[in-house]
Amino acid sequence: MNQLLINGICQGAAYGLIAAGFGLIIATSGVFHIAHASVCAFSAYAFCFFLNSISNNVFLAAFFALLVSSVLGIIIEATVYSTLRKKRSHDSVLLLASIATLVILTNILSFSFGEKPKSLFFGEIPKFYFRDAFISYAQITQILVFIIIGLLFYLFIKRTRFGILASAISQNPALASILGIRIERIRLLSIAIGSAMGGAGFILLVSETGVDPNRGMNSTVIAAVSCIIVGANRFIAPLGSALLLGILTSVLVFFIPAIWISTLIYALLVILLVIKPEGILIKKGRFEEK
Amino acid sequence: MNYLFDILLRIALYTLIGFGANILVFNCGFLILNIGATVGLAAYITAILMTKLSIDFTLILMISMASSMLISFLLFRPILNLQGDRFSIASLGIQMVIISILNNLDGLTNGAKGLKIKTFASVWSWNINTKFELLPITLVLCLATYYFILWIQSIPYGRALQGIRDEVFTAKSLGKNPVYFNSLAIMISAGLLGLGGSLYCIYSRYLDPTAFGLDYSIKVLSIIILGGLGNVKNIFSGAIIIVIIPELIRVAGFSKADATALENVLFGIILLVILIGRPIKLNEILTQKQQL
Repeated sequence: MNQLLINGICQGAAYGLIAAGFGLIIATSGVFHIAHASVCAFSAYAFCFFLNSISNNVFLAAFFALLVSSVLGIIIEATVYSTLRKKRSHDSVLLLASIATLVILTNILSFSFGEKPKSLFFGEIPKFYFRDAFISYAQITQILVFIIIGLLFYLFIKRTRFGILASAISQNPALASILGIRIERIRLLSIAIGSAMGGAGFILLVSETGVDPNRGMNSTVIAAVSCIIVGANRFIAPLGSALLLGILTSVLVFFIPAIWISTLIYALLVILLVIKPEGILIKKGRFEEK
Repeated sequence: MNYLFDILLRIALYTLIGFGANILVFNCGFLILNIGATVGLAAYITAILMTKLSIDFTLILMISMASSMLISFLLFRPILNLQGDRFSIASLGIQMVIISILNNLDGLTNGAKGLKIKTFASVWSWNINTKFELLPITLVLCLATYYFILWIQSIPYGRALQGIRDEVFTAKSLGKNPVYFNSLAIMISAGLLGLGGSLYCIYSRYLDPTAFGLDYSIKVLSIIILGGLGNVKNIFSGAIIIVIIPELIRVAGFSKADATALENVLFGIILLVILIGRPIKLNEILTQKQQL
């Protein structure tokens, strides 16, 4: 039980980063950015690729992976979402475009690296014994990185102008653009930050288990669920709710078979949408409309 | 010759499934993403009935269509009132729930290993052993569905559906209950998708949950969007394109896994290009659609 709790906290820390990034993206861009899953998977593969073939410096590899995911996020926003928005597309069309992007990116990964799971590190990650549970150094890194990035994110949202601008855009894009906020620039910046956070969280999540192209979907749905739980336009809260959700899913393994957990999470997404449909976005329309 | 029959069969199956999805996407303006799950569920029900019971295939077809209609109705009834993209997100959730249930129910569906069907379907004591024998049945059903869809669009019910899609308040004031009309449309669509799934089951004789994933839904959506939404005849040409492209990729000499991945990439790109290039029709339908 203690072991499950510790695993849950570490897993939840990784989910927290993914969820915070996802929440920032859907708040500012107004798209249910399901392609986040493949962006995260891409960054994990980039990390893996860098470690295997360029240099074995972990920090450089992490920097490279986050750069890849940010650039990928920016490309998606600039080519797909912003073009579709200019054509006054309906929200569902944007969602469909996001899913098409997800399918393209995931299948590019399985075409170039294969379907089989790939491990990020070679050999056993050292563990030590604490009370009656094992803690590995990867898990300590997970918690440390969660605290550092979470704090930076908190400061960035609360102490810089960006946080206010982002929440202004998420509440009323039309008014924000009238008041002279450069709405496209904020959207690009937030998708870059969100993708980098998602990439960081995902690399931490799969650091022990290894990554395969379809792995990102599960954690993105958890991110979506934790964003809907806390409600729209709250940037810091998903960090906490995803942490709780991570602990919950880990502890639930004690009671029900592990394979059913992801089914439960997908069902939770549908149920939450039915009982709390306002959780995703506050706004009714997009500023290009009408 | 067998190869040609195989391609013709697949085109007919995709056309049939495209017809089923078209009712919801075009006539009702619901962008559903759980097409793969509905088809897969019906295919699995057919497979399980075929292995467990030795009854006539027409009966099995009816049971699997009816259960697919009932399950779709029960799943869609609560989310029918969701606005905008939330309906699509909820249907995406339903898709993933059903696929992961199919994956996890090891006892019935044999899980990720895939289910092999050993028995042959028999229609009135005539065994369907080869693809050549399945082809006429599929073609007849496909043609029947085509006329059925044209008939639906011409009767007052079909016009009421489009009225509800475009002007929900006017339709309401004329006494058309949107929930009733849309639920019926969802059941009709699920029945057709179920028919396609059952036929797919006896066509492929091997089922695997990953075959009905999100990629499959995207493929069917590209079929109906490719032909220009709303034009029922063009679904056929969309299906031809969707079946021919993978064959060309296979001919080019990639391995099976690589070819599937490459094929999905191509379909994603096709869909994205259509969405970005000429989103008019789909967009018109969706933006005109108002809250129930």
